Amino acid sequence: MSLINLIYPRYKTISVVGTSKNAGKTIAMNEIVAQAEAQGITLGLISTGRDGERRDVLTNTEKPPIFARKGTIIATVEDAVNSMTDAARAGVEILDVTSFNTPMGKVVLGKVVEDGYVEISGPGSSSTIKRVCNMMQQSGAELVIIDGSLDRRASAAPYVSECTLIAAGASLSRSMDTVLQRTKHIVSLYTMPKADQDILKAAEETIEKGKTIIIDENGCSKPIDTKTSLMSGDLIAQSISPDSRYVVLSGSATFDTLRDIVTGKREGLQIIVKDATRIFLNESELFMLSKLGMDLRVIENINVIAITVNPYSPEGYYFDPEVFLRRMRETIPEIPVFDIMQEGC
Amino acid sequence: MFMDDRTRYLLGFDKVLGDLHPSSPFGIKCKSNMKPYMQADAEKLALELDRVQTMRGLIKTQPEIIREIKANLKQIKDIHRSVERCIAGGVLSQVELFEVKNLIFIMHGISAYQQKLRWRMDEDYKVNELPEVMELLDPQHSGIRSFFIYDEYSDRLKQLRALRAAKELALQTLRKQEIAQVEAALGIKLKSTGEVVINKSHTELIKQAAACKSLQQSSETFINITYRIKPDEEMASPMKDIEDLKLQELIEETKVIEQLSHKLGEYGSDIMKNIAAIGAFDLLLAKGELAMRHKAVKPEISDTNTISISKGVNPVVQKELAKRDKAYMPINAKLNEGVTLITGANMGGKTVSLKLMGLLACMAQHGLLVPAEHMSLGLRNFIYISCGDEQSVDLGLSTFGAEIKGITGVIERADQRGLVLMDELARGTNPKEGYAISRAIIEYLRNKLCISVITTHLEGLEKSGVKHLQVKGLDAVDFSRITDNEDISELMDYSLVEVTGESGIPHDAIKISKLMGMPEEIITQAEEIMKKNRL
Repeated sequence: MSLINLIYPRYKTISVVGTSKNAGKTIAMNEIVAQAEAQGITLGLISTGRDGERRDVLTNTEKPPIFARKGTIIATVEDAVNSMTDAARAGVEILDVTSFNTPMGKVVLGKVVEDGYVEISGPGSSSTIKRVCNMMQQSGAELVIIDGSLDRRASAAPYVSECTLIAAGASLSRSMDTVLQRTKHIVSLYTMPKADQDILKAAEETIEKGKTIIIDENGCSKPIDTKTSLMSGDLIAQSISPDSRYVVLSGSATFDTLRDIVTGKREGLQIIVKDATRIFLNESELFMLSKLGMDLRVIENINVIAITVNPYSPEGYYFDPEVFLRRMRETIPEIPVFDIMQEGC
Repeated sequence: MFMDDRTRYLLGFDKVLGDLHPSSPFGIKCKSNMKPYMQADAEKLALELDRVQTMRGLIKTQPEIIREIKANLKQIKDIHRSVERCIAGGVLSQVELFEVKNLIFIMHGISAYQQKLRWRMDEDYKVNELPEVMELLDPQHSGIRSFFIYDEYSDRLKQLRALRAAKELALQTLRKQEIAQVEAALGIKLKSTGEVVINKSHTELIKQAAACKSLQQSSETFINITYRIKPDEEMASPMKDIEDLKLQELIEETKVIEQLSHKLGEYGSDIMKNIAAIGAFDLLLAKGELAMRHKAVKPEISDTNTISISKGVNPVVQKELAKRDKAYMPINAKLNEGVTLITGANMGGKTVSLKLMGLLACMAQHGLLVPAEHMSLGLRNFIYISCGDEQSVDLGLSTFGAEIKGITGVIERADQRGLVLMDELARGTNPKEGYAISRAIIEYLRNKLCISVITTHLEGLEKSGVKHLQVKGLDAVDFSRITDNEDISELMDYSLVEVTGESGIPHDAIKISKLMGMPEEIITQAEEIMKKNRL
């Protein structure tokens, strides 16, 4: 099945994130753009923050800008629209000037009037991204692609979109095993199962209030007097009784806290956090806690629908593309993996 | 100066303005420029108050039209600087042109709804349609708010674009032909970008690709070689033409924006006039809404040097009371030139009533309707209040020092039609001297044009022969029948009654102290001391 058919028409918004710099995120985006174009889907393009740099600031490698077709709705910034000097830019009709500010002026909604390269941009916070996405859909975008990232500031992007594509690249590490394991770890954090349906709403409200509570099998909740759940695992562990069923953690889920809770607890205790951005565990820590029987759940998880692999690193090393692709598929069998750098994607 | 910042703050006028909410940035600017109407502007003030009253009526009778106008006002962004720059001959950016276009759309919207209002408004409030400006910014008459450098702006631009489109189409056809040829020759499929990635293990294919005249190598990794369609000579010419055309287009677009900005500049003053009208209308609307909330009436502007309030409400205090589910007791007061003395029980609302007089006068002179059943006002030259909770510590002065300094400053203006409000005159010093100073100030002010209102607890000032208002207070309350913890504010009658002759000042302080839970021992002793003093 081709990439675009995994996405559209089932989903109307997709975010594309990379596991590291130069993971092939922009190439993946361009591929979705090209495939969507071939099917005549009107696209909306938005980025979580600053974009449109022709060169990657960190590694000084060429970063391909987005090639947009006529009719595409884009989120961009004032400076980019007003720049009259770049002959390669696509002509953009201004549809709206939003009230969201960026260092390069307000976020502007535009319609591409002729094929060409465009600078896409967008606001930083998840609620504003969501609002701009809605505006783009109202302007006619059938599929909105969010250029996101996994760094902390913009990690909200996947939670705004209906589905997510993760671009995994060799640039993550020189060791293929490490790249595979880290990618698997990222995917497992982001696809962490949701808490039981009947508890979701109560847990969400608890977390919004910044509280930590324990809920027993009768649905009675017991608040734990902690300002943050950081370093408070011991306190929580002491309050867990044989009939406790859920622990709702408002703060960050660190290894120490989780270990304290998990040690000596009864079977079937769910530990609930807001989402993957609150989980601070590396691969071995997650592995160890899982072995101890931890049942970690989230209120919101991410719908990862595909992974793309980029076997090249700008640092000059590369993996055998066929081996990398095959092993990624073996490591994460539950999600389709594509190598869009090569033929036959 | 009409009033200083402290008076403005102490009267609660800042809080009243805080409840006045224009919807547009232009209205907000007009609000910040609000000035009091002075005696010379009495006619203008009367007109303004009429307009506010009319507006309040419209809010009630044509709410749906008002709602639409407000919806338009709320969309406005403050782009007057762009317009000013345009008038000065500056060139606007594309984003600015979009913003101007939007503003014109909003102006047309407001104008259309204004025409539906049953009000023959003055020119200053009327937002006009600007068809010429609309024509400039919407040359396609699409009625759509988006903006682009449309073909209609320049025949040359249109030609250049058409030419380029034709060249691009021709080039595309050539490319497709070439791609098809390569695909047929090599038996592989190229990406739509005209690229193909070949693994080096396919040595035969690599050889073929390298030998193919239509392909060029674009990049190479350790495993792959990427080939790209190589423009043949036939394609070279249209490609160069396209580049040239793009450049010419860019130059032409820049010219178009320049011309468009200059043409807009010619209508700049019309746009600015509309901006001013929007601001004025918006502020008027906000005043009307405030009047609705205050259940306010139009104050009558009088030639006489008097202030008369019947059933006046202090909106600031009322709002606070409403939060605690309590009602404000309206106050009547008639003030003439010279001095009026207010006496009455502690907690009898003297200060609140004093502030009410100043606040309502201040509101009226700023063109606001007043929360009262009726008010007539001879316009004031200035308003001043000297009041207990002044932040005199900031000035390094004691309570008494700050009070005297303020009063000295204002006494020099006693020959003008001012309004001077003094709360607990000379409260910060010993009663004997306090009395002497107060009495002397009263004597000085009693025959002056200025209306002075003084609240006091000092015994004997009421004998100075000036007008004397008294808080009814707890007179009607049977003290033997109430329990200790009853809420005094529930028992208090805040209304003011004029007293003539020597009625003395009320002695409720000990009763109130008792009600508020002062130990019995102290109360008893205080009562005994009072008895001795009388003997």
